[in-house]
Amino acid sequence: MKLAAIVGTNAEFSYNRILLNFIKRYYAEEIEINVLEIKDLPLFNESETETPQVISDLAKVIQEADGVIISTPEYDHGMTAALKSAIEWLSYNVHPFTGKPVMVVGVSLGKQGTDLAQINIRQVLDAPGVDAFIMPGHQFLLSNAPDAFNEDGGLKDPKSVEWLKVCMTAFTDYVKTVTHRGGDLVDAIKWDAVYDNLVIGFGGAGATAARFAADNDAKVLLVDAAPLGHEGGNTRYAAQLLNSGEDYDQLLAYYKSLYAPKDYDEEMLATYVHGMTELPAYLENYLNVKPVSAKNDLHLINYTLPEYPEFNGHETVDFTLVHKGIFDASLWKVLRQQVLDRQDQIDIWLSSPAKHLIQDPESKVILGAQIERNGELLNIRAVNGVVLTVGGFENNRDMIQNFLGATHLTPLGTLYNQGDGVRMGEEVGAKLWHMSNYESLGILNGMVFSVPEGERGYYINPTYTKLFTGAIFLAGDDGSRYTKEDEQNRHGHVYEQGQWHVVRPNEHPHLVFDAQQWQALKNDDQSPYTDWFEQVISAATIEELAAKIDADPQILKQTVHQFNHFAAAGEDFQFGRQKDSLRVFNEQGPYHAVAVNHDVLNTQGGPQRNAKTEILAADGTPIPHLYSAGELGGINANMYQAGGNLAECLIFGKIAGENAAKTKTTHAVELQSALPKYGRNDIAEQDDLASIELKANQYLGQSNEGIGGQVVVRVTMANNRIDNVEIVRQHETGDVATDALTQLPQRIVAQNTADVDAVSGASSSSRAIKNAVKDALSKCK
Amino acid sequence: MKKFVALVGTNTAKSTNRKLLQYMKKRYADDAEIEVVELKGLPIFKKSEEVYIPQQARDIADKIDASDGVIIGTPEYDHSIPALLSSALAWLSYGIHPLMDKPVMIVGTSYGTLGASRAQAQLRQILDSPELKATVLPSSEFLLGHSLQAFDDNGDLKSATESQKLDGLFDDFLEFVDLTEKLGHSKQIHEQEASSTFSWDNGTTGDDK
Repeated sequence: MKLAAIVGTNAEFSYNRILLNFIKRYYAEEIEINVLEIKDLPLFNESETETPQVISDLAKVIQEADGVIISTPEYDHGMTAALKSAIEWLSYNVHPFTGKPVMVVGVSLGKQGTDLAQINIRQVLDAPGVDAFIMPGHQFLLSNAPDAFNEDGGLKDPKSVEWLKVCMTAFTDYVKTVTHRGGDLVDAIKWDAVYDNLVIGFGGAGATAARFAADNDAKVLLVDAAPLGHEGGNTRYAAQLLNSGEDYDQLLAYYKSLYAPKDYDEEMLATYVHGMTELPAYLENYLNVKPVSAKNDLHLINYTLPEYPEFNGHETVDFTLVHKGIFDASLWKVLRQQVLDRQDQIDIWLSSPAKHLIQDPESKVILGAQIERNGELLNIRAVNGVVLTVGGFENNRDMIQNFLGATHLTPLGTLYNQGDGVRMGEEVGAKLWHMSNYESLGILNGMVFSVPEGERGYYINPTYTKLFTGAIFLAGDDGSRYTKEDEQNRHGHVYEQGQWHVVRPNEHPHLVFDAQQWQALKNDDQSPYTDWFEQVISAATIEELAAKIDADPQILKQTVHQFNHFAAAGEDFQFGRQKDSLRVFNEQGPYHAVAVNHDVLNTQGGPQRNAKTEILAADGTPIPHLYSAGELGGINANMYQAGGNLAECLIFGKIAGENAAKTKTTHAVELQSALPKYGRNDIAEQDDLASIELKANQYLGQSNEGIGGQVVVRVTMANNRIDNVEIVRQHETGDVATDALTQLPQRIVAQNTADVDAVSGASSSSRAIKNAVKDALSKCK
Repeated sequence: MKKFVALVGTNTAKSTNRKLLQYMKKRYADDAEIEVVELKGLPIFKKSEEVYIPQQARDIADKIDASDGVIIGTPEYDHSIPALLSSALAWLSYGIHPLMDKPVMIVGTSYGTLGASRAQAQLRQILDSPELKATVLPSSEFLLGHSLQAFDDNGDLKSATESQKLDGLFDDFLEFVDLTEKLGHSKQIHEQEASSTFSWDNGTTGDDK
């Protein structure tokens, strides 16, 4: 809604001006209020044939406003001459007040308020030619102005503020009813549910944001696209290491080198590094877990500790863990449990992808989002804000090509990060950053043995050096080598002229090796992964092998020849690979190759955020009520230190949750859960089912379509006939439903089918019971 | 011979109020010396730190002080007196009080039928406010409707009933002027009130913010 607020005096200093500016500030989050001055207007003169420009400008602003507030002092028992002159102009050749809802307020010095001025102004606004629609009653008249306001222009007396809110609510309702305009989108939409906050994405960042919003009294809906059991984003698949360090200055210096030469947001980096130094305390205070230090407790020697030993400040780099174990989803389970411990405040919907954010077209405030649930598109309102923690676009082929310059990358983590955050961010005008940066992992600078599209690759730790030691090298698309196979793995970044860049992916690279290498690999009982053995391609000669792997026979032959030359000379002149990792290829075939592919652990690109985790619009200003955390628009712009992403989830997830939870409306908005049939907490309900005891020939079935939502049945089979149907869970209400609950089970057993007539008057209860039985029957072998 | 100041309550060029006041000046030249005073040219009233009052306003105030009574002719803009008039009255009550206890006669014209009745009612209210405290001729409404057709070419009222009515009211006004001379007590009270205690937030009481 847009309101114009006219200061009804031309005095340089005026309490009426202070009042209107207070109202503007107080409602800044909800109503766009334009405070208008009349002190520079000429005195009205009827013989002026032409309307002065300043008057037509003023008329235009009033015309475009949905309603007008006029604040007037009282001079000589009436309104000021300046205001009367303005209204004379605005009812002479232009008539912006016609049909315009107006509320009159007033501030006076003395105790008597501005009653007579109010009466006078109402008469004037009512006059033909002005034709304003003055709101009856509800007069906000303030007296003894000098002690009504504090020095920064706020109303001292809470009772005055309360009365002002009553008047303003009455006026906004009056505007909407009188003009049918000015109704904001938030009032026009039929909301399927109203929460304080909506957190989209249930990975480490989402779990953290939801938990800290709940701890600040917010009622939260946490949604994720993944089905039950697959939630957790990339957090569940990561190594579970949190990058930390005791010495803030050293860690800051280290991170500045990681960022260089790219620019970075000073405050963002300070918040991030400061948060990292406090992670051990974070684990103890917020996750009630005793922190484990990789250096001090595990004495871990690992190529990623630190990943960039040449940068100063690296001595302080450490990992914090929740226990002595990695790649075991241990941190994820702790974060997940914190959410489940807050079931009364956090509802969880899985298999419920977010489709679009809902944004008010004028104020740009994010009102909520459209979530797909049980096949329906639901409008979910988030009164105080939405947090995007949906992760990156590892599984979005189109975005990989547009932003990363690769054509396809094999995902190592979740299959459910599809770039929704990037798309939804773009739809509401968000500014994107770090789009081209991503992390990969594993042998050969972040590669895996090829797997079908849409499946996860198998990560092989580069400590398994047999895949790049001996008569073996990585052949690019044309058969030539393109990277130092034994490069120290830095999340896929390779060393080029002093910097570590993401490697330029080839389309169909292969490992090429000779028979001796193949025998050694095949018979190695230490091999961490053997599925690739069946995909090995063989050929008698190098030229034949080239044909089989779409390489250029001449180039592959030349590359083998060159490789042998390096092996013999004991130096890899092309890439500087370790000399004792080079062995001359057997003179005779057969020769072998196996397809490998570049992988992606996580992307870093997405909507840009600031240190308060507010997402920024294209012009750099925050989009109101929209926050983010985690790898979506992550902070890492250039080189990456292991453990940085998970640290970001915990640090910025907390800030996002806290900021999102802050109340942003002047009056409490009534919350409303979705209809019971949409369920409340998929994980809790699932755990509850697991507790129902089943004998050999008994099957559990459920449906969410009951009036009260979930209906669960236990079906007993005997020589493949329905022998018994019991309803073990239901929240149906009303006596008609009880008929369904009692009669339907017998009817289904009698007719030995779920397709029986519904009990009249209890259609949804009947449908829920029948579908639950069908669900159970579908499980009978 | 009584001296009256007749204030033209509008700044438009062809104002029937001005015509009415000029008509009264000519018609009653034997009974009173009426000076038709223009208000146009006065800047719009604006409070200031140093309580600045334009010279034109001071001149008008001096004339009013020196006069035995004031006649105010007002049209009606948007059911109220024009901003010009309310601005002038604001100047004439901003630290100076020429209209205090001054007999005032209100007349008004309008193109429509009502002859600025609402404006005249509002003017009475304003003249009665503490900062002005003029002594307005009671129950004496001269509402000249359809004013565009009310005068002949040499500016005289065409309708005899209207002119007789005006004559009667003017005679009352003459007697009213003599009568109010005697109301000494209220004059003293008004003097004290005006200079010391609260009044609408004009410049003199210091708390003029």
